[in-house]
Amino acid sequence: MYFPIAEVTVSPFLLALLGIVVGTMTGFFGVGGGFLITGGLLVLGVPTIYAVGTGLLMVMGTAITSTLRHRRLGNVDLRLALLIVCGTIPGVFLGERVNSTLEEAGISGPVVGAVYFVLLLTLGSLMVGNWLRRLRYRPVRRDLGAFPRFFQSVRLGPSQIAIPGVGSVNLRPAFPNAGIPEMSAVVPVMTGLVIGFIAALLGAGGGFLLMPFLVYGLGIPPAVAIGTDLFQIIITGTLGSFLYSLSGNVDPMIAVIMFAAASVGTQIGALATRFVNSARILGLFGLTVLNAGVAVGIGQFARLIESDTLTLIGQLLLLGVSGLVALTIVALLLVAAVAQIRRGRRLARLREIRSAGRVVVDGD
Amino acid sequence: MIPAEWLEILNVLRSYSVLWSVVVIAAMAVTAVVLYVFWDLVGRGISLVARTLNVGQPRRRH
Repeated sequence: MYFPIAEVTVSPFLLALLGIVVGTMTGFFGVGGGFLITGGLLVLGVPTIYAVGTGLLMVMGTAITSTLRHRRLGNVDLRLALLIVCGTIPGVFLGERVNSTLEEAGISGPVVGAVYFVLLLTLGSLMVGNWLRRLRYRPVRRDLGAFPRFFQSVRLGPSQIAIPGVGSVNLRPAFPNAGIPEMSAVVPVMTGLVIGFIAALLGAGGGFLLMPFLVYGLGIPPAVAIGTDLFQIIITGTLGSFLYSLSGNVDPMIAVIMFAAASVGTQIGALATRFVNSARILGLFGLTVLNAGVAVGIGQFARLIESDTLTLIGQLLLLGVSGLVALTIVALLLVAAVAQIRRGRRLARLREIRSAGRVVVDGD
Repeated sequence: MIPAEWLEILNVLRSYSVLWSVVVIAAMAVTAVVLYVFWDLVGRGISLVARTLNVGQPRRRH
């Protein structure tokens, strides 16, 4: 099918397939899935600037749906999220400007691809390594790690400032939902700035970077990290898609096809989180990120040497392994659902046997 | 395939960049809410059917 805005021909079936895979990941891992969407669109042949803009629009949609589902759980630390957003907004403007400049210079594709490759590979390796260590040693850690200790104790700027008409404002507030007794407000603002910049440059919501940073860097419980992260993704996604649409670099038709398909996957993924333990979730997530990094690297290398075979291998690797992870999630869900149904029937049979025995005893 | 008239409307809209951006974002936000409501209703429907048929939970004795 020909998409006139992005001026590209892509099979809607492949777009829908990518959407379902992304949706399953989003529902299961609680991130926007931008790293997979933009990476996927790149290997499907969509021009880089459109892949980035369209990716941001889709990330916005999935974040809205996921936040609506999470709102009842109260997993958002609003103070932390708003401080992150204060940094995210200028970061997004900066990232979009840098990407447009790179596009004008004709090097947007290779630069975005290279940054993607390095980030995904590093993050994926760290997550898979951490998961393997946890599987081997199962350490019981009651204290904070080195990074959370550092970020929570670092003293940046004054502890409070006086604003005329408002009074004294505490710049080292507590974040009760996130379980942080005191932290400099500069830390979340700077985090937002960096995440916003990278997100706008790469066309992702930033969730694949922010979520691990909140968990491993700031020591926030995963559930609160996901909720806070999703809130931030809505802002990044909306602002990013607005800026990219202003330059006409968003194809809403590609986004809508993928989003409609993704909504099916989101339901499957969200349902699966009720049955699968968090160690498996982190391991699968790390594996997906690592694979996306390798696939983007192969795709970029294929463009460099203009090899169709390598391009095909990159596409197969990204969609194939991500599809396999999505299938694994579905399989885990089915196994757990069947086990629960069997457990329910066994329990009911036991109750019937017990009550039948009681009737016989009463009859005697 | 997209009809030619639709393409013309799209091109006219795209020439007004701010309006185009607002329309694109609003369309995605509305799609997101509609899909959320749709799947929420589907979920409620499935729960209702499962409760009625006593599937996936211990059978109640009457």
